[in-house]
Amino acid sequence: MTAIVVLTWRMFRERRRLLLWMCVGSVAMVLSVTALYPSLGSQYGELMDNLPDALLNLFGGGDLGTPAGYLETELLSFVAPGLVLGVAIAFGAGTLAGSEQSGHLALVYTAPISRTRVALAALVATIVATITITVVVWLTLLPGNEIGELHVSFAHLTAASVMLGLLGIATGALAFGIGAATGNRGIAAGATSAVAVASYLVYALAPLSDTTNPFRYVSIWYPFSANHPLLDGVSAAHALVLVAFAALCAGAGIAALGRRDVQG
Amino acid sequence: MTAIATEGLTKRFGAIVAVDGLDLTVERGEVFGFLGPNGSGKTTTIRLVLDLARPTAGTATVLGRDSRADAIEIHRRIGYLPGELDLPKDLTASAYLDFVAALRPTADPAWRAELCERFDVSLDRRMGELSTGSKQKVGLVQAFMHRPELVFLDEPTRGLDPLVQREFHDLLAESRDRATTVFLSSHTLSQVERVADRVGILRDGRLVVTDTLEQLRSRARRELELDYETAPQSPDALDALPGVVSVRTRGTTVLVSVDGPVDEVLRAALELGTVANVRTPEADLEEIFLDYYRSRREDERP
Repeated sequence: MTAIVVLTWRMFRERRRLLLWMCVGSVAMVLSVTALYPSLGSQYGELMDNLPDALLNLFGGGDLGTPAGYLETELLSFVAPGLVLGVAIAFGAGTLAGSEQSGHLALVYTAPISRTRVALAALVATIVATITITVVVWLTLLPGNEIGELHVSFAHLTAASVMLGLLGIATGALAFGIGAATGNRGIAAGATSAVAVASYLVYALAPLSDTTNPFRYVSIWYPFSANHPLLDGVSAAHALVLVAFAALCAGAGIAALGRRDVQG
Repeated sequence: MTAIATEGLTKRFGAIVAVDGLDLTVERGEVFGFLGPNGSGKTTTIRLVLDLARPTAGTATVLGRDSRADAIEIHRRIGYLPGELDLPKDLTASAYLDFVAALRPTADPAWRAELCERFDVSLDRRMGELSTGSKQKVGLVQAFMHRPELVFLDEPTRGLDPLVQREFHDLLAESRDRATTVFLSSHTLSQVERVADRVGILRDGRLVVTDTLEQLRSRARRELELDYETAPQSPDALDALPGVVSVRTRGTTVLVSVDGPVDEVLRAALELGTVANVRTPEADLEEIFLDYYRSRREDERP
């Protein structure tokens, strides 16, 4: 095994328990939301019709009368991203900045491996963890779709999962980039969580007025869900935006890591 | 051939100057004791030389290579024991050594096994359960197990019992025989006294002295105790000689404190009367070191 693979595995392994529990939580959430559709779907539709637009948007803004709208509103706009982003941020901030702060990288930074490779190992560990929990969500959606009699197509469930995974990778890359630049896990996780929450709120609430509406385009939630992947599939342009954002964050972080003092 | 050479190496953290224009040379194959009080800049110097921190000014070469441009090549050839060694608690010592070995292409399994045996490393225990000293032994093994040409050891004997310390000193002696260079940082003289060929003393980020222990010892203050058969008439005559710090008389015994060579004092002392006996305790190195440690701005040495 090459050094970088060993390092990636070590960084991944150190946080495997967190990943395991978040995956267990994801299975439980997806199964309970989908299983409740037959009994809750129609009632929710009536309830939501009476809610003001602001609240409706906060809950995801989908059309609750349809299975896809129900799934988007109840699961994919907020709950599932919360779980996936939790993993992405924990790994993004933890694999490099967290390990460095714990003093675990002293012998890694003084081994014959460039800082860029150390950073790439941390980034790959973050992406693998994010993909793992996304795949768990996707694999649970398939039987959940049957149990809840939602009849959403396999292609659309897959499309929504792909966009979920890309949102996770983009967020994980942001946490990784801030961590690589600062060497501080707290700052990386805190700032990224703040960006994620602000993004969600801006995306949900900006459309309420014409003045604030343009701001939704700067939210990372916009490319994730604006084209409703459960209805229309993956938008290549939106996917590309998330990938480009991830690459930019990771690249900037690695460049900053090469210039700063590291612990060890 | 030099193992380490720094020129004007400087590191500032805001207004604090941690390392201040350091010019240091360590020859290949020597055991160099790097001494200084806590916070004098020893660890920062090591971090600069290893390219963990970047100098504000100045340069360093390690094994003839530039510390920044050739960091990876340098890292391949060195071993390092950090001063604050933090090891992953969930791994056994054995698994951790596997991990560190995998990062280096030059692992030597047989030598590693021998080191583990010599230091009696608890290979199968998780490191979260190990004492400071037991973890330090794992740290020592990883620093030497790939047979590096140059080893940086930052406070290596922390938490080690005397038996392990002896094994460690043996290892250093063998390293010297194999022409391995050892850069040994410590805040206490006793840790390097037995093993170092040369020492450098750092204070407030500056090198106040580098020399061999013999040279330092010869410069040390000594107490001469001269027993005369009859009390000498004018022992104060010794006071005027170079290096003499004080002269006291106790019955027929004269006690003279001398800095540096005692030759002239002895000659003069013999002129004062018949000397029945001379006693001189071993020069107290600890005292010289404490002197260098204390902030004595007025007589700073180059």
